Amino acid sequence: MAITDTTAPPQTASSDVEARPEATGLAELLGTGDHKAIGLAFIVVSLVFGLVALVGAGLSQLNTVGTDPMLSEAVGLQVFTLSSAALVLLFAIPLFLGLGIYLTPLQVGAATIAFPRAAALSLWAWLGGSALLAVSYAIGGGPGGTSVQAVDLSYLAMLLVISALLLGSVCVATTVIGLRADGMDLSRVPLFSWGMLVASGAWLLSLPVLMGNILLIDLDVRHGQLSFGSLDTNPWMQLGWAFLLPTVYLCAIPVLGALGDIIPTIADVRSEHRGLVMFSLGLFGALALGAWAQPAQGGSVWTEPLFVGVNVAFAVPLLGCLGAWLLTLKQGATKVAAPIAIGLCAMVLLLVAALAGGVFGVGRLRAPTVLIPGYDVPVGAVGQANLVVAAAVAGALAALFFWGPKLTGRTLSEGIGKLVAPVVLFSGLAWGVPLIVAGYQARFTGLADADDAFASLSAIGAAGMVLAVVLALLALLGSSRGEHAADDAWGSGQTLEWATSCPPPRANFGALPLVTSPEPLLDAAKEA
Amino acid sequence: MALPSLAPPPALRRPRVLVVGTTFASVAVVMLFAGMVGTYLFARAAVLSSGGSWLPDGAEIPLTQPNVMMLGLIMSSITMQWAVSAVRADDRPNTYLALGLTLVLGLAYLNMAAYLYSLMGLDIDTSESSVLIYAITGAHLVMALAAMFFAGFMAFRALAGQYTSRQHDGISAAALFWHVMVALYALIWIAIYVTVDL
Repeated sequence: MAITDTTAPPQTASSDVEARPEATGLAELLGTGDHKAIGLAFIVVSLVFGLVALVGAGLSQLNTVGTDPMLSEAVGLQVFTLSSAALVLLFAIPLFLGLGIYLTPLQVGAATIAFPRAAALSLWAWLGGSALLAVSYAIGGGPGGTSVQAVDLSYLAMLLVISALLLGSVCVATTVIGLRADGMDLSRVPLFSWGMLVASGAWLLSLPVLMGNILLIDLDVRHGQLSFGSLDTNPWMQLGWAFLLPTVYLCAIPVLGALGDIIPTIADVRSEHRGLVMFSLGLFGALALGAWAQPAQGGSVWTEPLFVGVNVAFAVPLLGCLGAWLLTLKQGATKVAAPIAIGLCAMVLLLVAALAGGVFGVGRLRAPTVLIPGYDVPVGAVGQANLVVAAAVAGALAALFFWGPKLTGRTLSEGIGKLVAPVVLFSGLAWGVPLIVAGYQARFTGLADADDAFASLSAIGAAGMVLAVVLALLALLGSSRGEHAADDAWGSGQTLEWATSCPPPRANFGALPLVTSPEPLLDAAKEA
Repeated sequence: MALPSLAPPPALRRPRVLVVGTTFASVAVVMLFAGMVGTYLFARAAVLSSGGSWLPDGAEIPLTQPNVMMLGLIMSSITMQWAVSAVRADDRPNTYLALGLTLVLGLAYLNMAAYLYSLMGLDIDTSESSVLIYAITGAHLVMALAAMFFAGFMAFRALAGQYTSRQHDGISAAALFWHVMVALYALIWIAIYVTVDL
């Protein structure tokens, strides 16, 4: 079967050919083209990588406390750059990509994902690239690294990781566009799938620009170091734009889509103003296209009114979605289930990030930018990015608790889910807000004295985020002791994934209900 | 006895996922080159505005070879579209001929690019401009190789009788990627070769 084939071959038994024994365990995972196995592997591994990235983020903040850093300047910069890149490329984006690979075929009524072998290649290339990235940093690679070969390896590993994510994005976006069930036009696509389509499109438009930058820097490192400076020069701002505002919002796009499905389902009512939510999601994705805001190219881009305006504008789609969901909740049954609680925490974090983007941006117009010593990155911008990543993590955890029964076949602990909500909210705020406040120290001199306290608080916030991810992993792993989930685990499923068993069989569906609206299962129940 | 005439088969309902997937992949490749060319133009503008010379002493990029490469690629786009039209008409000999000509023109592009590199006298280790020029044009050569592999792979499938007027997604997808490759060369031709010192 070629990589360009769009469907897995049917499982046929032939009487004259001896049937091979079906692979199990690791052999099955290594050879699989099943989107559910691939998606689940992405989810679990990205959660584990997320733990490491969050520890690194906390460590890089602790390293700035006091006058005597724990780490040398080069190692400190390595920890900071690796954790910044890993939070986005090894954690937030692949976590949603895994959810998308698992769920979008189910939501659109497809038997498989588009290009299943390419999806498998995406997983293994991402894993291989991640391992190479870790190895390259361990031997002195990455920005701030000391060895040309190791730095070269780290850039090549980043290229591999991004290529893999792009390949997975193509599979997800093509599934939503090309493999929808009869009757499901784009306006009837479930909102999570719509969010994944917007996110995949935005990733395909933005991440290749980052790849271009990495390719140029890598060649420069190997050939003379004349364009971007010698190894002693910190090239992070040539790459760091992809992990700061507005581009970092790319990893939060699917949050809105996930909440768009979670809220009406648990409230047991059709979504209000669905068109507004779809438009807001598209607008959010368009605003997150931040490749134009590269400080290394634009020079003064950080202080331009356009930059500030775009950061403020994120509040518009967020408020649009929030308004529609509050109306939906008002119409439906009031249930404080864990996915809704965690999801609303994600919305709070996103709104704070958008508000901070505006306030901090306006402040930046009138005062010099404060850089983190040793990292040469604006401290306020790192705080904002932390808030957005925290929101993305919260949104992904909400999705995990909502679709957990579909992923594991068992119900996830509601108690743990309700514990995750406050942990992720307060940890996220602690991780980001202190750094945003510290960004004002050029205007309010008293703040400079509290620098260490702000950095310490941010490190504590990162530790809290670690706790939230550990709790989610415990809930996933502990689900084997939970009750077997019914096909429609919430009893009020609206979209097609709830029409099949938990977890779904190999080809996902038997007979599909007719799709005449965005909520085919509600229509079917009404007719019955 | 006259055989009853058969009604034409119903239009094939197919999701065209290969064309859709290739479109998404092409968008990503376009953005890769947009980013690199953007960086190139910023760097060149910075050097030229400070009164410096973009190319190092002794280096010169002739325009004849890039022009021939551009013309060759435009011709290859035409032959590629000829292949799509032929397969849509179930005209197999013309499909094979057009795909073969496209691949030959692709090889000619690679050959001319290698010749151009030998003429430029641009050492990659000696200047900022050389790293950027080799990175961008080299990435385009890789894309051209990928497009040739894609077209060749689909040509073999066509030889095996896979594509017909009712199902020609493989050829159409390969053609789409090929046209994008040619369009990106046009961008490089203008940004790097035609306006080299502007």
